[in-house]
Amino acid sequence: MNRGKQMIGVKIVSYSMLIIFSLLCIIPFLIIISASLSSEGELAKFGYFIMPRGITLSAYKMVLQNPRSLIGAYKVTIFTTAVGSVMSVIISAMLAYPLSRQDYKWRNYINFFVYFTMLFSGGAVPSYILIAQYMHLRNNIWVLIIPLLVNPWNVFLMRTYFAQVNKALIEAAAIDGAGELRIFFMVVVPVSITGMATVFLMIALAFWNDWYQCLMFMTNEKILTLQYFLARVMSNIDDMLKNSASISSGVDLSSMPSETTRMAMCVFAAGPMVFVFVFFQKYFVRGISVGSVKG
Amino acid sequence: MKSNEATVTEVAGKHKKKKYGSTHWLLTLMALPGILIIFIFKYLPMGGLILAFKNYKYSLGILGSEWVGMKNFMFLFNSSTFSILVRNTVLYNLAFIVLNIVAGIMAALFLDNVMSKRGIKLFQTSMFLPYFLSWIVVSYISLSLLDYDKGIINQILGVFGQNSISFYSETKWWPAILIFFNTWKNLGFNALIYYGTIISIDSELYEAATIDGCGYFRRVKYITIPHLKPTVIILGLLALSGIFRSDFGLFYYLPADSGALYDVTDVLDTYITRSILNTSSLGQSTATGLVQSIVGLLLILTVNSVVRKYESESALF
Amino acid sequence: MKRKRIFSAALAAAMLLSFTGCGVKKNTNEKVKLTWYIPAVLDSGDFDEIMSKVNEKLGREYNLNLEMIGIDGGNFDKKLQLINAGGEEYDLAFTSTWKNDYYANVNSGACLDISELLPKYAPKLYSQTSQTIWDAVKVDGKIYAAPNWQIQAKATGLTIPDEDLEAASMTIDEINTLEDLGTYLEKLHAVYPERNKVLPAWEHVQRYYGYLDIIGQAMPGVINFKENGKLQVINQYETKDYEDYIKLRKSWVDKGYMFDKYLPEDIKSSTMEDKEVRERPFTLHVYSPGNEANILQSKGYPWSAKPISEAVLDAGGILAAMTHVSSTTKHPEEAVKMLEVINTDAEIFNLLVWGIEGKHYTKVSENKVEKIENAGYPGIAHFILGSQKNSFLLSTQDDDLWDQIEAFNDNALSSPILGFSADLDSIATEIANCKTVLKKRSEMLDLGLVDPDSEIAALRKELKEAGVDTIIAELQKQIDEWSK
Repeated sequence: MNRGKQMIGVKIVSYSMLIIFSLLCIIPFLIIISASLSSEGELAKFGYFIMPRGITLSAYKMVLQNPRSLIGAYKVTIFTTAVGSVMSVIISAMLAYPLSRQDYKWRNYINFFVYFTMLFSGGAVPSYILIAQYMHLRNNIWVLIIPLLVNPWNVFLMRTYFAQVNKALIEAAAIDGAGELRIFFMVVVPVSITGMATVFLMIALAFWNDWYQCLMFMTNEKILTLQYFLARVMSNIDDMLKNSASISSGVDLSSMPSETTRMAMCVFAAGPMVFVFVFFQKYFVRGISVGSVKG
Repeated sequence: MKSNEATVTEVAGKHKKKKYGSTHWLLTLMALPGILIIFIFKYLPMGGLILAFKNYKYSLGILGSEWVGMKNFMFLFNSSTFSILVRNTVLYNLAFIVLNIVAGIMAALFLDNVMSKRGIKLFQTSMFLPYFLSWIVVSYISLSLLDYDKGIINQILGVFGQNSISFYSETKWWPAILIFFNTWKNLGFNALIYYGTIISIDSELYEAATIDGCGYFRRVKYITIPHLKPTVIILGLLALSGIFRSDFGLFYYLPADSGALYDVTDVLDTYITRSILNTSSLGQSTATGLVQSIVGLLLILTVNSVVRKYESESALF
Repeated sequence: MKRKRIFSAALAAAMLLSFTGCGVKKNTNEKVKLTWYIPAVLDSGDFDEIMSKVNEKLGREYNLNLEMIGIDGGNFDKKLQLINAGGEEYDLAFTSTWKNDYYANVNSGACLDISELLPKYAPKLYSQTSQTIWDAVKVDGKIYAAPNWQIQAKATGLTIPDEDLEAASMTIDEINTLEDLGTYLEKLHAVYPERNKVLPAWEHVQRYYGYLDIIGQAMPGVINFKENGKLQVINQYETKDYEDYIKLRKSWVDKGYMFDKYLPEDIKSSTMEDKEVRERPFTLHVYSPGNEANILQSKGYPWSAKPISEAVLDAGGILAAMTHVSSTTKHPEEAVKMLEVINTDAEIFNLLVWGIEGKHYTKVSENKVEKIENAGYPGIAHFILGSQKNSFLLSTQDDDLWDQIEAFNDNALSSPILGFSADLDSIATEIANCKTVLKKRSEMLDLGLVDPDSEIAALRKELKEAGVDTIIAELQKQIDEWSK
């Protein structure tokens, strides 16, 4: 049939495009991994390649030289990511849901209240004064979590998902005598689980990748997030090199992390989250059935 | 719009009206933790915006420092490259907004045609990989592709007997390169968002349409796209408000801060970061941020009022 | 309106914020605890042990207790700006012209005036540092930081691998000018015909032609120190010297000595060169006695180095490494005392710089050490802490290295504008503009990648449009006033 042929054509196009997209995204990743496994000399001589040349684990050994600190950084980041994401998704959803309700009286004011913070911000110094001088949260692990709990972007995204929930469902539940909280947790959340999982993943990624909050408020080198921990080793020596004209004396270049070490650091920084993502994928795929049954 | 709702509620009878009355407070209570966090961590520090009009001396405090009027703003406006900076910032942002939406939706539609769960998982995961990378890492990747003597592209050109290209000193390639990498990095993420919306569409709608004899493209046009519209509008609006801002890492690390490329790679954020480094003035950076915010606000107020007219449910506020 | 109320609430909060809290001063006999910020990564597991040894001695002999806080160099400026702007209490911090900018800090009130405290609480430090140097540190006649003794005079330096010199059958003594360098390159080229990658170097070469920066490396506006006593501010990009240098670089590229394409990774990794891969035949940079040993240490093969310009003592060199006392400190006397200790107590200094003997380094003689590979403490660069004279030497370094450096500093010419600091407030826009123009044009010129005649003309024209004349005139005005 014509229809069937059209669908086959569409599928062929879809699959081939996705294969191209995926390859474009995977290949650079392979380049990084293979660079991290290559020997420094081969890398400098032949440039980057998809396959490692002169395989060696020395770059990983370099990074792991000081495993206690690295493990400490992992612990901090796993804590902030786990606790932060759960708290954040709950608080954001509770803020997003009223905003998705067309019948909520103060909807527009609160929408603007939330949105305004995307446009205007006081800047780093006033935030620092508030949090460090008045709330005394410096070098406190919660400073890596609490200020980041509500991101307007995520709130609006969730609001969109909630707004698409069939209003008849809410009204039916209301007529059945369910209170707002019950409606939210028993009706709205289950139906929007796909969207919420998406947002949850983004929030988790944001916590995982955070280095700015750590840069701002942490001077205790025992409470550093993974990304900041890895970045600063490079930044420190890069900086010394950049300024070598001003400080002609005494920059020990031999401790400079090599190109391959940098690549190994990238693997340490991004690797675990990739696994978490793969795990989370179940929910996106499962989302299909949930979405279509309850619709 | 609100008045409409109100009358509907009133018509719906006394029982419901009373219920809705108490509901507002309950809904507000739900929103309260979020509101409080925003107020404390976003609104309280906004008082610091007055730094834009001050010559801040640490020892004098924020309020004690001397007022300097618009001087901090003139620093930006008097820049000899101001018009180039604005052009670059705005045009790149427009290109990014459009391409992120188009590429994201296309990838999501493609994904929707994949039947095997494992296939979806595989494609989604691989497309998402770039999103995990910081711009510094992406700049290593772009260097490995574009480098003059070791880069993969020039190696390939060499195989075909073509001359190598010195990417880092020729401006003409960079608009395409920057747009490509931005789209590339965000593709998986955007696809995920749109795909999340697509799979939550009631499958009965599609079935009914198929029975009515609708082909694939008609189904996409009349069912999928309308369902994606609210998400597109929200994401578009949110992105538009940042029209005067840009992703510092993309514009700084990818062109390796090569001066020869400034005509097409310098944006407001890179200019300000570079300029302020040695003169070190908080006032100037605050002033620049304020300009970026105000432009975003004006733009968003205009666009939002248009959206409210035609798609009131999707308007931001 | 609700929105208005929100604004006024935010403003009220801001007002609250601006009152800096003032704690109650405790008057006890306890050891005074000092906090000191330095640009370094101090997360080594052994650092706690080192600090406890340091504090043991500090407490016993000086009644002090020290907390060292390391912030990676790349983020040091940003974090110190937050800490200073937030009015946070701390005692000491590294400051210089290139990191945690000294003038900006003094100007915004982050540094304490220690002119009176220094002779009282740091008498040795005060007397062992020459008055010329104190004068250079002064801003409006007051001292706001103590310089860490190190190489303070600067000369344009040349560094070449011995192997390459042999290949060209020359010695470093034969190379005294840039033209000689050209001859060397020609001879080397005959043996190794491949092109070499060399960094842009104009900012270092300026000194070779007799120019001294006033407002930062390679920024327009220089003084010619060879024309004694004449305090005329010149736009170096308008000079014939600049043209000559650029044309020379271009000719090296044209003759095939140097690479003819822009290579960002070489610009980024600057002087870093891999041990296994070697392409660069020389570097033009800032000279320092003992450079050869440093490079040997990091690259693994022998080099020769020499200055090819006169050594000049200018503010840039003196202010390159200092420590300031914070204006928020509650213990100004003790903070200054700490400066004295770090600059005079070699044991404490070397603990911080090298770690623990036998664990992180081994002694090969009285004042010479060898680092133990991967010992768990990378150390702190000595110039960040205090006087280098306190430091052990590496076994590869000359015994009299500190004397060599001392002589180098002492024999240097003094900059005619030593002690002058420019007020950039009124020319900030022009400086930013010129910086952009220079970044856009000068790198390509400096690498010899573009036609000198047309591109130098374009650079000059764009600098004019960017307001270079305003900068020159303003600097001239300020220097004239200062020299009165």
